[in-house]
Amino acid sequence: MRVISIMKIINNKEEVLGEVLEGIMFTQPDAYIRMINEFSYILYRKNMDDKKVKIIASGGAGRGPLFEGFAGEGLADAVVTGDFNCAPNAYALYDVARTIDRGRGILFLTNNYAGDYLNNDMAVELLSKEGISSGMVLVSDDIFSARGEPKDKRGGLSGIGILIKIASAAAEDGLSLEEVLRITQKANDRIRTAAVCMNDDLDLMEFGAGFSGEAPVITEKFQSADRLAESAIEKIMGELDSYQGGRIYLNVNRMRQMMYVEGYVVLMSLKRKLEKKGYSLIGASVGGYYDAYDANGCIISLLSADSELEKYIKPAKGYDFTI
Amino acid sequence: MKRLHVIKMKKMLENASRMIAANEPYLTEVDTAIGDGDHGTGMKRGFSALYKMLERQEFYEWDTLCGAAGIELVKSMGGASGVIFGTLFIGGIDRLPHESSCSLTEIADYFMEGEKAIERRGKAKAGQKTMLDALLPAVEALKKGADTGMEIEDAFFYAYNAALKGAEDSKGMESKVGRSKNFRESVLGLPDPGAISTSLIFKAFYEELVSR
Repeated sequence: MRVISIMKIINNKEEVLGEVLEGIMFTQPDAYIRMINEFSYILYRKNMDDKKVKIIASGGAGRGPLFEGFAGEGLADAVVTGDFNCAPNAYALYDVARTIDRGRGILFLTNNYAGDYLNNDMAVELLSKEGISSGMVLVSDDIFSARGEPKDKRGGLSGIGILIKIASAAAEDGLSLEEVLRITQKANDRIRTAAVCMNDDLDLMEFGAGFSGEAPVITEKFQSADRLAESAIEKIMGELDSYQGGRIYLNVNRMRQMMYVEGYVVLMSLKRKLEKKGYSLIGASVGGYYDAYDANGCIISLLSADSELEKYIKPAKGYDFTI
Repeated sequence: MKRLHVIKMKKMLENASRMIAANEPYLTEVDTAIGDGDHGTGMKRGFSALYKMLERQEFYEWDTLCGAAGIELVKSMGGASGVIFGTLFIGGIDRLPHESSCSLTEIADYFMEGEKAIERRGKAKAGQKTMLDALLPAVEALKKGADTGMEIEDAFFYAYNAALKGAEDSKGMESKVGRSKNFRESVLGLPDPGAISTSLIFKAFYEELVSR
């Protein structure tokens, strides 16, 4: 897989994922506890608020900050990954959940892939056998996966980062598990994401290519950031316009080869185009949250928020990013 | 025999663990042709962990034994297989007595519930080239055995043969769920690795049951 083969400056592959967690803990002393599990990687926060629903985000490893870097105030209470590109096992999810639950329940957030779904679903069952309530939201923001099929068949990309902070804000508001689930599910219903990779040799922009080498769905000539923004907005808003009156939250995820400055250029192009079309914006973030694509390009997420969701959308800071 | 003691069931699980571990090369070979080639090593890792756990722990009740066996598989395997085979042992746990002996009806209901739990969780049915193609006929044979008052050994004999036939039948099926669906028609003629694993488990159960 590309995500593994591209890694070069390492000592040996088996130690990489453990070093990520140890490194995160070293940079932020007293913030985390690492739980040892032979086949998964688990980090949870110290000093959590006992009176709230706990958020556990999980997925394949090695594409950080999602997921290794997403535990923190305003974000997830625990993050769990499996091996590179592999879901963590259900026992690891269950084990950290029962460790951090203080009676208000657990919300699992993961992208909608078979391995992630199966293991999170099993964790929910194992917890219920112990009387711990939990639920999961399967994030399906990628508009180019499972084309022509219902939204719940789609996979997830970097939109999960936004859903994590929404779930976290709702939980910190003291809401019940049922309410946090409902709000997070609503956010998933109203978020859409498009990945666009640059083909520099042919000067093309390729929409919807998968990070494991799946072919792009739509290819267009690259002209400018403005044109890229316009094209992305058309594809995404075509699905979101049914949510009338929604105000837009905007996120640009830089791929590995996209420059810091380009991220902001695309962000401002998106802002201008959206405003010109009459959409009202409530906030935005730019960063390298999801490091899956070894390409130049970006992943653009738009969320059409109603007034309830808007309450829970505010900047959240990880150690090395803001979303 | 009309009732099965928990000590015997423990031995059956140990034998299944040995059987899976011994067949790892074969499972790997089949999965390399049809999937991503990790089914054999994953199953061996899970069932070796199960064997070690059974070796160091005593069990006095059926539900405790089968629940612990399922958890051990989930814990050590990861991926889809860990959940699927873990669900086989955990899904129907409520049907088992918290006692040292168990009737064929209870055993059949237990595996039937496990099969249904896998269908629900995996959103799959028999006929789609999955482990269910071996499991469903096996649990139906157990259920039929229970309903007709068979001896436990005989019911497991029919269950094993039904699983074996199911795994064989999976050769002619097109893949609709799971990893191998990406290979579509090219999987015709090849059996499903999960169905083979399932038939091996029932083979081991039966052989241990009739051994002295």
